[in-house]
Amino acid sequence: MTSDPLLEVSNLSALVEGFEVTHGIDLEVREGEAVALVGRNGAGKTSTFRSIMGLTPVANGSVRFKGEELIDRRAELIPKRGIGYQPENRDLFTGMTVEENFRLPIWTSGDARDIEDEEAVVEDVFDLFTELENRRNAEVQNLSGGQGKMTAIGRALALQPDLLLLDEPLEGLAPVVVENLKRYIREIIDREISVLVAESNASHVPEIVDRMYVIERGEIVDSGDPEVLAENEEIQLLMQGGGE
Amino acid sequence: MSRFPLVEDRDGQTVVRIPLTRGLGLTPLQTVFAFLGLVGLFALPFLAGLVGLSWERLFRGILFGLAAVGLNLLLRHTELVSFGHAAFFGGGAYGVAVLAAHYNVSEGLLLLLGAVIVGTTLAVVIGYFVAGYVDIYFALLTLAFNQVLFATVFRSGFFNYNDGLQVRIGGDRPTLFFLEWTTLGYDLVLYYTTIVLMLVMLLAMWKLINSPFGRALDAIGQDRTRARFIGIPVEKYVWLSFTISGLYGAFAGGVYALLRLHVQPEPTLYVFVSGEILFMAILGGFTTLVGPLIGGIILVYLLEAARFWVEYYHALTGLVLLAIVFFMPKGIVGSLPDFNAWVAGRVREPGRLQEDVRSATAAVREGVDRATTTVRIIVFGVK
Repeated sequence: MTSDPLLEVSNLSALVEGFEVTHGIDLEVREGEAVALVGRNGAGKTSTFRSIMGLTPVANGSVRFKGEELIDRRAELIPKRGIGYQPENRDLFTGMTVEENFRLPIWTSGDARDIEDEEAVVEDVFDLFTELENRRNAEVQNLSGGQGKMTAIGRALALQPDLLLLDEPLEGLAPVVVENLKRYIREIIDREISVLVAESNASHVPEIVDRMYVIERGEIVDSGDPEVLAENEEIQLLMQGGGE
Repeated sequence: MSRFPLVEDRDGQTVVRIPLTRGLGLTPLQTVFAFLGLVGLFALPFLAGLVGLSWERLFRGILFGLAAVGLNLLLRHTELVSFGHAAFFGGGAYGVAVLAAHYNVSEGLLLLLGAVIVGTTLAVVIGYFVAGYVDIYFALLTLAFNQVLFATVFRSGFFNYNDGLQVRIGGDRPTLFFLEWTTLGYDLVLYYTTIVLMLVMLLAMWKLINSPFGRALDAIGQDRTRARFIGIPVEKYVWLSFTISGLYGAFAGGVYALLRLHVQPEPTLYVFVSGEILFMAILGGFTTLVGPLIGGIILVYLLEAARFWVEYYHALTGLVLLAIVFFMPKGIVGSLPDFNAWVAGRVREPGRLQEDVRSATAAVREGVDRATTTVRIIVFGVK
């Protein structure tokens, strides 16, 4: 089922306020694949995502998506190329309803994503997140934490991306909500959308993804089968803040 | 209720419908105010004299207010504070004056069209340079452009320096609808033409801010990064809204020139005028559509009336601004719903009015007590 690489990140070093926070990141996501980027807080997951999305400057390296180089592209073009992004802090548009948060990207994308039937796309997102259905007209600041994350993911799905970047979608949620969200993410993967998910808790990962990378101090230190890596004592120690 | 265009399935065909009235519902109170406002606007030339107000001054207030409505598109939605909107008001006014004085264009509507073109072009150019900036940088850049424009006009013989230009063609005032009018007729025709065009512009603004474009501007105002990663072309949209905003100022400035028939740099282009336009939006209520218009009428009237009462009348602007910021941060029109709720509450439970009076008296008494204690300590050194 693995095929051509969809996203190829090579030797990527992201800058935050002039400081290099990731050093030569190499990773790839193939079509239809679900991949995790696992590391503790501050390891460089968010910076990696933000540099893929063009939201933070890079010192060097390359981000190729479907063969096209994305570095130096304007950030607003990247979602139109087919990468959806759920940021760590939800970052929803307050004062607007859940539905408006879904529709806004579609409306402003022009013809970039070839979305012919806006209604169908929006309904598709509500079909996925069934518990958002009756919160459709609620303004997003009134949502619970879990509903907020779902809205942020739904907003990223509205442009029918080929690749979805999920930045800690499970963080800070009650266990039962975490289980729901894992189910939703697996459904997204079943819809043949490739997923790259950042996680600080390695134990969640084997249930969701096919492959994982471990990031520490801005560098990829290991990669492979999530079942194996999540059991690896060294990795576990690293996640808990120990190890070298 | 969604504010986005609806896609409907009609006889098996997908039809995109942009409902004209959707999202534009008025509450009963707003309907009453809108009706009163309309009647007031149309009856203004006759009413003003009856109550001893200067109609011409009110007219000028309306024009500055309309410029403030334009500025408010940036202030309310993209959350950008422009200190340079006099550039477009003045640009429009000088557009009229230059066409009349140097090129002998004599028809008022053509002059107005020229004003809109000149002012909007300025907005396109300035907008191109400022769209990428936010906060203080945006404010200072708009101010700087405004000042450059003012200084250029002030120092240029083409614009006749500080004396400005007459909007007269061979000593005659322009025609309107290609007809010559008496002084009163001219003012009345100009007024009603302006009011009709202004209502169209207000409706257009209402549609605009309730459209997906308006929501995208809200999104940009909340956080530009956030807007970018869902694909909103931030600079392009800000540039566009800046241009639209400038167009409103240009139109208002053009009418101002036609009304005054004499355009000078100070009352139209000076950066203080930019500050006043901004202040009108805040005074009237920048969270509302018509607030800035009301703010314009009140401020212009207040300032000009105050000239006769107070020597330092500019201090009045400051005092009013302080009062607004402390006691009515939503502005006059923005505070109406709160006021309405307060009145409704007191009508329902008249007992609470007594409570209000009691708490107000108590507050005053406490303040007086504290002040006398302070004075006593200062004078006698004891409590």
